[in-house]
Amino acid sequence: MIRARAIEVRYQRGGALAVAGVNIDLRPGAGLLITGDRGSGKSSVLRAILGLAGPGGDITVLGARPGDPPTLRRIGWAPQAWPFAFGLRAREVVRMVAELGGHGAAAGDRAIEEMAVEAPGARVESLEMEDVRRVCMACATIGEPDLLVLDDPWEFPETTAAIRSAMDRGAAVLAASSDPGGLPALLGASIHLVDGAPG
Amino acid sequence: MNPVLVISRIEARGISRRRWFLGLLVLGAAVIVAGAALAAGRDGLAAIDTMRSWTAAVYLVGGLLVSATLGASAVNRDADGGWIGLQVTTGIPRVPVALARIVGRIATLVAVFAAWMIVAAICSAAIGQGGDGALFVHGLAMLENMVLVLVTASLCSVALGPVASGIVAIFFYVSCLSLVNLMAASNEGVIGSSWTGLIEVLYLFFPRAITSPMLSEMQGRGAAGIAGAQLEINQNVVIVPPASWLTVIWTLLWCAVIAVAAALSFRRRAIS
Repeated sequence: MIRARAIEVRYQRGGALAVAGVNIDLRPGAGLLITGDRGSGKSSVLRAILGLAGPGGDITVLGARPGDPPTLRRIGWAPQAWPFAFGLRAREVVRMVAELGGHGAAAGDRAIEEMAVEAPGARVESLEMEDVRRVCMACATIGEPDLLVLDDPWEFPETTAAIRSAMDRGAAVLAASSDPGGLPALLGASIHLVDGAPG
Repeated sequence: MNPVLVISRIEARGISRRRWFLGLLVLGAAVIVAGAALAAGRDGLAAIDTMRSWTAAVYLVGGLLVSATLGASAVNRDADGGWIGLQVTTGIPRVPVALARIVGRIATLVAVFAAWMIVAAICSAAIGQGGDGALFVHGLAMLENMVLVLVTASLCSVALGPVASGIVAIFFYVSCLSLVNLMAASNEGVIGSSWTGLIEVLYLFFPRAITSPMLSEMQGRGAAGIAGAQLEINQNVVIVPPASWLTVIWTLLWCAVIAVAAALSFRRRAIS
């Protein structure tokens, strides 16, 4: 699923490395949690795996280089914090992800139900943070992807169920959290980062 | 549905619900109505000039605000905040994603101008000036100018913050406008011949601001208000001629080139 050696992330040419020397091996049906304080490079590793932040190192994700568009269709991504554009409703966001992924708007509606989003018709800027995290998880779980990449998943029963269900069907789960709670036990393996490197 | 359509539609939908956008849309329409009310109390050419100059002011000032703001938000904040990352990780390549975001913004700008042009036509008819075709053509000309501002701001937004992107785009438009004015002055022989060659080269290469027949005529009489102050160089009044079809097409081509450049330059940008 993922084989990465010496991941490096640098956000500016000639700038300091945000991540260096991180190795990841993730097989089908397995999980991996990246822990560390804020700013330790957890999210940067996930972005490198997805090809969002031009990574260095030897990285293969589902047999392709990071960011390969057809491969991204097999990956479910839940970004951290509040990753939306103003003015949209929660349902519209999830439907967009479903439609762009080729699953149809109905798949988005199902994901919203499964993640128990409380106010799917509300504007995203008015959502409680708990609902924001649920909407992000709904985006990630659309269409049963082969790899789930979750940045700061909050531990709701629905989140736990989605992770367990994905691993049971053979999908891999890569998550990052600074407050892991019960995620280490659920995912089975973990890496701790300090200042962008394994600590 | 085509992914470009999906992204364009959702971008346009989100923008159209934002307060600043609705505020500018309504304010522009209100100024056009106020101009019509003022024109209703005047007669003949004065009434026509009032209606047209107020509307032209909305197209220029309101158009600049809307287009610069739309373009300046095309990439930067949404790339850093995670929204574009959500679009890209669905497997749609970055170039179509960026193009779709720009197309969605252009569609929104077209909708704003359509609304203002309809209000202007209704107001013109209400005060007995008919639909005013010249004002309609001026609206189309300004729409093209504002698309140029929007795509320029979009290109800047790949590397710069929203405020800087908007300011650079407006300055670029003003430069294109100045070039057209200087070329008109050069053609009338009111500027030194040593500058003529440079102005001609720049005029041939750069995009050109579009001057409508209505604005050209009103500017010549000094009746266009803030939309086109009378151009005076070396104490000579310069008449800026209406843009030719070649100029219209040339600037449209430039808009397309800048939009594609924005999409291509987005390929290697780090996003969240």
